[in-house]
Amino acid sequence: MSLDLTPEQKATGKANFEQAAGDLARDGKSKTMVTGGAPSDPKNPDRRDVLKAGLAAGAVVPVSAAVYFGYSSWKGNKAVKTALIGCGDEGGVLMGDHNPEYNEIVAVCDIRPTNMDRIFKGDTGPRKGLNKVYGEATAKKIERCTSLADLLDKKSKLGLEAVIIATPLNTHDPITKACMDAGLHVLCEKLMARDVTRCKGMIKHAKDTGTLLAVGHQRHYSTLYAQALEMLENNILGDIKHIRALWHRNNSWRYSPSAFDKSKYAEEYGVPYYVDSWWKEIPKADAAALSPEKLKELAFGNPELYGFKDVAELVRWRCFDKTGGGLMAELGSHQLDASSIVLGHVKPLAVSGVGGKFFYGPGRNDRESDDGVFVTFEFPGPKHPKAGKGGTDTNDVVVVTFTSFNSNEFEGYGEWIMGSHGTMFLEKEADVYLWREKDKSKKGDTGGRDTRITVTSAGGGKPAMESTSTWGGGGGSAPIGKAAGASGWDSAVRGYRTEMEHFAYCVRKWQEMKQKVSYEKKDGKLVHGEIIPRCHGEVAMADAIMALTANMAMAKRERIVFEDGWFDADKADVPETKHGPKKA
Amino acid sequence: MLLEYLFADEAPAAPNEFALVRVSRRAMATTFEIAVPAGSLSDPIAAAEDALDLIDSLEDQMTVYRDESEVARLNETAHGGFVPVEPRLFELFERCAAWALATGGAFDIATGALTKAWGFYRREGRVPPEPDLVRAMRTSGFRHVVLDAERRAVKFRVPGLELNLGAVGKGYALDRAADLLREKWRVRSALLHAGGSSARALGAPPGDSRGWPVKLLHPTDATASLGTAFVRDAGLGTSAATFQYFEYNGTKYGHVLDPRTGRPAFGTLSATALAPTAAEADALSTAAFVLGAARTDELARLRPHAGLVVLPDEPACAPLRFNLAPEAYSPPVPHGPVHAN
Repeated sequence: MSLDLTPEQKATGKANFEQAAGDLARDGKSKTMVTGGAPSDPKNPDRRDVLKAGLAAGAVVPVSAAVYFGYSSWKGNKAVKTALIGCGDEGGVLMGDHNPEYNEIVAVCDIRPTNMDRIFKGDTGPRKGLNKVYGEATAKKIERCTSLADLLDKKSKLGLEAVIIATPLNTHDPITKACMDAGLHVLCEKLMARDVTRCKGMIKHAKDTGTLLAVGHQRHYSTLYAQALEMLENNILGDIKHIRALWHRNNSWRYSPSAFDKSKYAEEYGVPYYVDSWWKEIPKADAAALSPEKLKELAFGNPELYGFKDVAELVRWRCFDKTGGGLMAELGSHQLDASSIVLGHVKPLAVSGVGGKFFYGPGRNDRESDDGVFVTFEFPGPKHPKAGKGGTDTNDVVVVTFTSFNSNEFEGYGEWIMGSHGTMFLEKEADVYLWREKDKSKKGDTGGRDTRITVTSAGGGKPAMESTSTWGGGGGSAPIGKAAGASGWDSAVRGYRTEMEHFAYCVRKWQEMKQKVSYEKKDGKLVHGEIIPRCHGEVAMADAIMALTANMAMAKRERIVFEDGWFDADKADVPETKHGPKKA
Repeated sequence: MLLEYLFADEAPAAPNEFALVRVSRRAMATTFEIAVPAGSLSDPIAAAEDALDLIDSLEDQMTVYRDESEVARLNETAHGGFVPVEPRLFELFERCAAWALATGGAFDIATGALTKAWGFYRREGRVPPEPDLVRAMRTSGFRHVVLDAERRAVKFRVPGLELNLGAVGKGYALDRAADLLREKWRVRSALLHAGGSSARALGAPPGDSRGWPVKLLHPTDATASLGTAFVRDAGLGTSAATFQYFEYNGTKYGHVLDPRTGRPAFGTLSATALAPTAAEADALSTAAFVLGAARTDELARLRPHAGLVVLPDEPACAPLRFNLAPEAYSPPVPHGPVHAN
């Protein structure tokens, strides 16, 4: 099936999803939506009831992320004083989307001078830059630290309470641990760590120091995924046997040599052959500041694990085995995370796949990591014993495929969930579509509609339409196309903002209780689950296990069966013991 | 209002955001769209399709591009004597007669001959030779149309006169569709529009009692806006020199003709009207565009129930507004520092 849907097919799919979501809400089966009408308990109205009162009976609106994720009463709280460590591409996205009422950025930290510049001035896409978020005058007061040691030295002066870490993968664990030792709560970007042992070390460190550990798999905070999950839990798609996840990109277009500004970029680290966000130019300013000796000094005492041999390895860290985890870690982990969410937070049974460096090569954005990955996961279906719902049917398996490569992006990225009654498509974390399967027991059932239907968000001050002249003399133009078709950056849907807000909320709640963070469990569940980030260490470790084990399966061309011990943070079992290292 | 009051002390979680189901279809050479808040109706799509079906049938009645339409037939035969007209269409003609009078002829639907002379009928703009123009002027003007209210019949006093509902047809169709949605489908809140130039609001959107926010686009500057109008149980129409013009000997000719001179109107870049119905808003926006900002002032005094926003064709001129309360219209925000949230 192709992702090249016609606008009509997409429109129908969107409307179907909205309709189904509304139906669920009216049936009282939705937590992501609220229905108008009388409050459930008139004497003690909750926030949903307040929303209800403003709506006509039967009307349905989505609840806000803050209400859904349970942190809607922020009133009276001061923003958590937060530092960003790692001001690159992902740090830029997080800064562009953070809410200063929850997380006040008091310091930024990066060893690359150009990143420091970029985090303030902004960059492409949602990377607005701190100057824009805070205003230049306020942004000037944000402390600029050129090393972790520098930042931690200034901790007390800054009143620092938490950090957001968005550094290369191999540095996640030493930075996380150092910050926790300093009593700081940590939101670390994904992938959690370079290997599973290091993930377990981070979880233990959080427990030992009594600090929060959140990992940035933002789909856990997406209202879109919450709604999709609700729908699946209500069996709208019927029997799900296959999820097709994909993230296809095309980085095969030739880099124009004239774009290589020799006054800005260091030629000795190579000129890109293709336009490729993972294989960028090396800025001269970074090269000058970060000699191999300097990088060794900054390697948290272990250059073998945490260091970079030169500035190119630092800037292009995603391409190297030691510093990154390739496509599985960077892209696949998100989608496997999504698949395990929509299948009810289950763990996979087995993985196999084919991967390799099929496209790039010497002189052409060469790398160690695979540039094409094609993996197949087996997940337990609801009746499978491993689903934990009392089932005994070992044949109830959901096959999840993930593909990612670098030379065709016709299909883009997203997840297709295929059930016996319908298909759900989550496109680019921004839109969700639902199509009904043709019912072959009913004569003439087509499963679709002709007239174009779209669903857009409205309210909150956004114009519902734009008015200008069209002339009814034949042809005509339709300026609504822009308003209806644009799928912009919606913070509530994306999850980044909510993830950071909830993290701040958890920090304040633990402070209110005047105690260290406790990860105590009862009957396998966190006792304080409400005030621990949704993607805490154990959840994130499962995502890391999936991504890293897939790499091992591809490297050895074998089918690897997941073991329960790997997912147990208290046990030393890790997939690397039997199945690593990733490459011979 | 209740929501805003209760959430006033909150972080801006935008509780009044909601999803809009938009159903659209091509008709009258543009795209008609009906937007209904998701969940406010049990079957919004069926309701919208019913309304779009009505719009299709109104196009069949009013178009001058098909010989068999009621208006085309009328144009063929009404010079020969009174021709009975469908009651609601007749009622529209009566209203058009009143608007022609009120606007001093700046709005006039009896200008089909002029439209044809200028080539706008087929979208091939040309400056007509003087004799053609004189002939077209002689066969244009609602003063040549006789309405017999008793028999609901129409007669033309001059041969060659042609009615063209291009300026109000879309608004009229939206009004009818809105009536259908309200009466048959019990729709309390919806926004209907035709390609952005005509709109009709039913009620207000959830969470904003001011009405449906409609951004008025600047006709020549894509980065600027002419403000936001809030439309509640009312119509909105915009006439602008945006898309349709042609150039001849270095002069730009817009598609809006001034029925009084027989030539394209000039001096105005954009005119938007808010009125109780979309048809009237269409008529008044056309009139304001033709009259220009100075004379719109007079029109506004005569029609106090109608709000107007007019952008004169002068360098760096701000839009002028008439009869618009702050809750119905907020002017464009001047360029300033952008605050992210």
